[in-house]
Amino acid sequence: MCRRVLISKNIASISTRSLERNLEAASGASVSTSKMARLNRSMNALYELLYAEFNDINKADYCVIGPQLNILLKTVKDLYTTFEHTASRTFLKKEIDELKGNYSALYEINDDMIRYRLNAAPDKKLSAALKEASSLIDKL
Amino acid sequence: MIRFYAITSFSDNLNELKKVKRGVYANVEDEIRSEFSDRSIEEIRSNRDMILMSDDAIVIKLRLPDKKHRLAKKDGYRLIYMVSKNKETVVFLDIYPKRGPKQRLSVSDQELAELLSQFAEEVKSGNLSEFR
Repeated sequence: MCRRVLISKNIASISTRSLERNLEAASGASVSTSKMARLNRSMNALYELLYAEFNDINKADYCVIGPQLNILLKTVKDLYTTFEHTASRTFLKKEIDELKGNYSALYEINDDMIRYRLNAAPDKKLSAALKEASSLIDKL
Repeated sequence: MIRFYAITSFSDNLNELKKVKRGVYANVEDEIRSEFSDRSIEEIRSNRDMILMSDDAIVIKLRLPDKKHRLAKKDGYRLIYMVSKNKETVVFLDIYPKRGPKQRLSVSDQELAELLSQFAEEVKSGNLSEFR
């Protein structure tokens, strides 16, 4: 079993802080660079935790962390969108770019978990293509 | 000796990345070569980033760093390759960055199927190139 509780707590914390930053930015208040930097560091750490646990996550784990992860992704995406539409971007550019990168990485690892670790039945077309390709690789 | 091959779209993608303005992805080929130099076939096969497996091959989505921009593996590149379980053969299927103007979120099942089908076509037509 993966470190489900730790992952879950991390996701909840990051989601809450993302929402707080979003509320600040949306209200026109200045968002502190250090708070954004800490948020990005936390997201980076969450990614590394998920990557470390990737091969151990099972369906029971994903039933808990999956929905939370989807909420986190939406919250982070909303935060990025708010920054896109507000004027206070210039001094936060580095952190906003980092935020986008973190979103991309978390989106991908979540997608990979679903498709490659939890899906019992892979896509039929993909299975057929893999079967054909693997029958040919040793002919090279 | 390990033999490396690349499908046409992989080579095209690689060349496109190297041409991007300001040399954003100029080091991508160095990262690939650096990753595979001095690796045994067992190490290449046993990479924990395995995504698909069949009786004779493994498909791996490898995270690569971007040392030029000091990006760790999470933020660098994704290299998708297939490796034979029986022979010392590696086929590069796709490469994409996680940052910058050519960044991609992921690769879909449909895209993976198309890459594998392209490999099959190029083997059958004799058009598969070695990656040197």
